[in-house]
Amino acid sequence: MNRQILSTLLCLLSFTASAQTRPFQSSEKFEYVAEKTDPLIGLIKTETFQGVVLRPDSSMESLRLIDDHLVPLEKAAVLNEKTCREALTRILGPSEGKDPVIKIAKVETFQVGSDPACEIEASDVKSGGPLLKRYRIAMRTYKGKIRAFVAQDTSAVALPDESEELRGFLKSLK
Amino acid sequence: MKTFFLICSLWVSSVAIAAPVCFTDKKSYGEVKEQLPAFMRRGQVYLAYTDGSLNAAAAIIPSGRGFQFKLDYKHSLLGTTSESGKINKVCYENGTAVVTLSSGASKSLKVQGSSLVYKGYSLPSVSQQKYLAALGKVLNAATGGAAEGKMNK
Repeated sequence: MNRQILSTLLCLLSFTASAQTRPFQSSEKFEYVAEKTDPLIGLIKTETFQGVVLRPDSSMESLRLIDDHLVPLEKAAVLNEKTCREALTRILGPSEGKDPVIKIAKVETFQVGSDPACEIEASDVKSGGPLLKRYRIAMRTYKGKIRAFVAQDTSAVALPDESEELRGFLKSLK
Repeated sequence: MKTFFLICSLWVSSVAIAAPVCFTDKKSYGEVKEQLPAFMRRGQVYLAYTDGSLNAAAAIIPSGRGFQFKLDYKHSLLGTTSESGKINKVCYENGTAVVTLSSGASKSLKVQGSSLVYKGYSLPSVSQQKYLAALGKVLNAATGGAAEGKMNK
């Protein structure tokens, strides 16, 4: 009897632990490494960083590892081009002003069901290291906040289906 | 009364000592480096970390007129990742170094002896030679990481 109770408790604990490391559900297969459990992966990231989404089945190198960010959204605010750009500043740094670190190439808004969403194509202005990175960021409102997926790559040109696949993952959130 | 004034003057001097020591570039670093912990006075800081699932090599190194924060790690699930960010400011106060990057990220690192502790991870400062060895281990494992990535499918 005691053994049964113990195993039920262990089962509940392991379920809780796995649920904690996955901050969202998706209809697509993915694994998640949370900053909470592996803080060192967030050493150089901004405060909005939550963890890394691992999508081993993706055929695109740039979409196998995606950074997950969560940005607070002010009450009654909506996700539009302006708030999308503001969220990007919180995620990757400023794109305007005296010392921009990000150069925005394109901002596009779209819908995920009834939720507003947006996508940004950007790149490093100056890199701290030898490699300049290209970014594709897809965001949507999710449980009262902005959930943003940041795909990054050092290749200058994106594959044609990259945008569609990243948006697809954003749409797959439950 | 004398004791009270003595305590007050000691408290005032301790507050004065605890004022933050900040630098933004090589020039200002040169001006304040003597007030930093010994391992932070050499112009660069090399850090290494190893555990069962993570090998990491981090460094604060000169870059142009200022400094950059560099991190290379090999994670058992994520494979090899290299990141870096330009440092806007480093402030040292009460045993804590706060590194602010140009992205706006601000990281608090507690100084313990010659180690920097980040969210419970103790990153000992190492020689350049040991850092390069740790970096080599991370980067050479890149092929292995890709292989593991395939195995995850």
